[in-house]
Amino acid sequence: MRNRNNKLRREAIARKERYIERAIFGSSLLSILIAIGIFVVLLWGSLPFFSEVSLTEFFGGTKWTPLFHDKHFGIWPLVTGTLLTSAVAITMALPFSLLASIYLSELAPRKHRQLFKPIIEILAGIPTIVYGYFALLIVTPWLQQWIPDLAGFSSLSAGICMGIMIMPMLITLSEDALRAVPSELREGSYALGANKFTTVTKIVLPSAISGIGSAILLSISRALGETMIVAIAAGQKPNLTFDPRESVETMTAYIVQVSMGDTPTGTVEYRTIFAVGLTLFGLTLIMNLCSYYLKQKFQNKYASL
Amino acid sequence: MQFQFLSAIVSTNNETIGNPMSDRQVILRTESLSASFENKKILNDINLEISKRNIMAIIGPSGCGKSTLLRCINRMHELIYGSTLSGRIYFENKNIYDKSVDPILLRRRIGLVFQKPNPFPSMSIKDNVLSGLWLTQKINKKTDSDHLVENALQQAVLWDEVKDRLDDSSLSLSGGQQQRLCIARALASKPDVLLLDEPCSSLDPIATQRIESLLLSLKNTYTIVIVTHNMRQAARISNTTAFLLSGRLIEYGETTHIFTSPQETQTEDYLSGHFD
Amino acid sequence: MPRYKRQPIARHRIVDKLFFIVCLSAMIIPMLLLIILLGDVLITGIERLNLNFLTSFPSRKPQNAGILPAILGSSYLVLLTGIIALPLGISAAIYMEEYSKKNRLYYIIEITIANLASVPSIIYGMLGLTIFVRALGLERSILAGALTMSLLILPIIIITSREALHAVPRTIRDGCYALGATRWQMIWQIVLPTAFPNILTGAILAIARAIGETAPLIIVGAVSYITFLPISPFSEFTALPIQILNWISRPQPEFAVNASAAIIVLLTTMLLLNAISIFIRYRVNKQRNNW
Repeated sequence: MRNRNNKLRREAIARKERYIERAIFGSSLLSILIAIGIFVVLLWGSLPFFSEVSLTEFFGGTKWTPLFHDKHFGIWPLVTGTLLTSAVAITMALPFSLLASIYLSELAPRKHRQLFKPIIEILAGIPTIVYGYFALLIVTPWLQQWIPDLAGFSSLSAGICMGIMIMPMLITLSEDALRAVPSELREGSYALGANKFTTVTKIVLPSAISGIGSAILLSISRALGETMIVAIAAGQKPNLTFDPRESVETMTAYIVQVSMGDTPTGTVEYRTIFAVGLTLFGLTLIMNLCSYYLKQKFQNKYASL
Repeated sequence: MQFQFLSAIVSTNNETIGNPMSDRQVILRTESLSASFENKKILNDINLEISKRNIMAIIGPSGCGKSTLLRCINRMHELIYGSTLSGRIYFENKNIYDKSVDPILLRRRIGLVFQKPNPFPSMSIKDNVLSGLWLTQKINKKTDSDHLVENALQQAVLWDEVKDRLDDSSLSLSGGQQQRLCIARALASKPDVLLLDEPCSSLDPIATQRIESLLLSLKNTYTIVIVTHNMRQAARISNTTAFLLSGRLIEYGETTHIFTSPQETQTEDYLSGHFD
Repeated sequence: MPRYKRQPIARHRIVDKLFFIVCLSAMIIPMLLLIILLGDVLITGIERLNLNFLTSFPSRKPQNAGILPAILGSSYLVLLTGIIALPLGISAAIYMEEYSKKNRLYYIIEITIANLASVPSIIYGMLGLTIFVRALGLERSILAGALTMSLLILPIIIITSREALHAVPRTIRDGCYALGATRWQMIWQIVLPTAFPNILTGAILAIARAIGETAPLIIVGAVSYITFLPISPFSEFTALPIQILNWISRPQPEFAVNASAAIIVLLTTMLLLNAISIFIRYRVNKQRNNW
């Protein structure tokens, strides 16, 4: 009798274990489901669009006026607008972030590092809407004092604020890459009589280069997909230009514009946001995958050392 | 049993050395050297003399402070966060811990080879050999330096194995080759003293043998200090031996003396395998 | 005279000093810039920040406008998001760390999560719009917003929870098995409690992210002008960042003052959450120094 009870209990436990395992296995599959969902939604939304607008017009045209009477569906102005703001942001963020990450990883006394790390972490949490406010209401009027022909909405001002926004992330990721370089290499360099500067620039940086590359790609991806700063401060004027003083519209800003406007759903104008979203997703996915690949390569490099 | 065996090695070795220690000029001398790491004392009042063009072996059980002693000699110890040091080390009669001494310039004269081979993975074999000169701006990438490379690799007895693939990655070499590459790298900077921190601990017997014969061939040009926990290795290659235990220098002297008639019972215990 | 003393002030020392100064400035200059910007917002907004502002509805008159519906909407949204996303994220992390064999599926899930974490938030908005708002007919409700936000922060929760679980030493697990515990008993009674502070830290950061996100809410249709309080998960809603956006976009400078005041509220919340998470981690790290 007792034996039988024990057996039943053991079976009950085993059954419970199986249920739990299945349930949490399901939740881990959810991420795959989300990824598939994103693909399907974007494709499903843009297929009707591409039946009305040809791919050659979409990817070949240089005019983007779906919301006007004279409709053109060339995505290039949105792409260049996105690339331009991202380029300003990276140009702004990269030198500062790289040097700052070198400071944190190689030069800073431990006390200073312990001071700066939490600050950076907190700054990384500032919502992008706040940067949008900075860009439109503080930085643009500021810049206009120095650059008189700067437009009220400009990729320069949005890009600068976006640069400040991605800096904490870029600093943290580059610092991780630098710290992953084995200390034996630094010691080897010091033992040969090298100073800090040469050790960092000729030994540590070249060894961390793929890790830093991965960090940069991820930051670019973040900049491409950034929405609020550009929607607020870069303007809503699809503009095929490389002049950062002018107003442009990014892909994300366009999607926001349509969503906040009164475009009726089901029209071809409305479906543009899925086509634009798909393009944006494709661009960022390429960046993310390259970044992931570089990171794996970097990690494997020092796994053996 | 082992004790006898070691003495046998030493006596054969000593015949080939042939010049007594007293003739030698002292190049390095530590004076009441103490070092600690995060309040833990690692070296305690070390007074040691190292003479020129000589191989000194530092032996002792693991954790006795051998590596730290080496790192103090070329001022690498201070690079570790939380390390402190007191006492003096005289190199050519000048205290290297004097304020006027630049540790960076000192390290160019006192090379250090690490326990684990650490060639620079981002560089080719050739660039690794030249890295010391390159990192200290003595040469740049355009300098014609083939003879320097060949010289250093010949000295490190690696030339024949790698002469056809100087531009390959340094990671393509075996562990023993990598360690000899690191020795070549240190030699290319033309140091006066070469410190080696258990250079053979991660190598197989054949690679170990090669490095040992390499060190013997370098003896007449460089002052070599080698840390090892392998007593037979110390007996095979060194002229003088220092025995460290728990951060203290128990005794040092000619290898023959230390191995055949140690003054201290602790040394005798260690050599006969009572601990480690 | 020893050779190493020949150069009195070596060039390499000056280079090192300069290098240090340059790198330190690169660290400090953007930080100062950001502090100036934040200070500007603080000075502009602090005059508007009073009890009235926190307890009023939006209004056409900037002096009378307040953020009560926005605060409640954001709280409601974050609460729902947490309830939905945390169990899902943490259990996915448990599966990845404790159960899964390192097979093909494991690597597919891993690369998917890594990529989802860096998909632009606006794309999640479009996903939410199509699935929750349209297909499931949730309309512009808090629930639709919270579900969308959950998908957005799910990868973050999975990644941080996995790190937390990974940090639990192998020996503790072995000790548990040695006592005859089943896998789930071991996870539930030993591993999760041990990893809990670090999981919590990650969860707080993810929640903070959800509070500040704006773009997905715009897409799923949070409205900015609301004169009632959200009562059920199915009511329309606004959120703090949406309210801020609305005020930024207006031409009158008084609304910009309102925006700064609302930003102060938003940032204070974030700062508090961050401070809590940093504090937890600091205490845990101190405790576990001897691992």
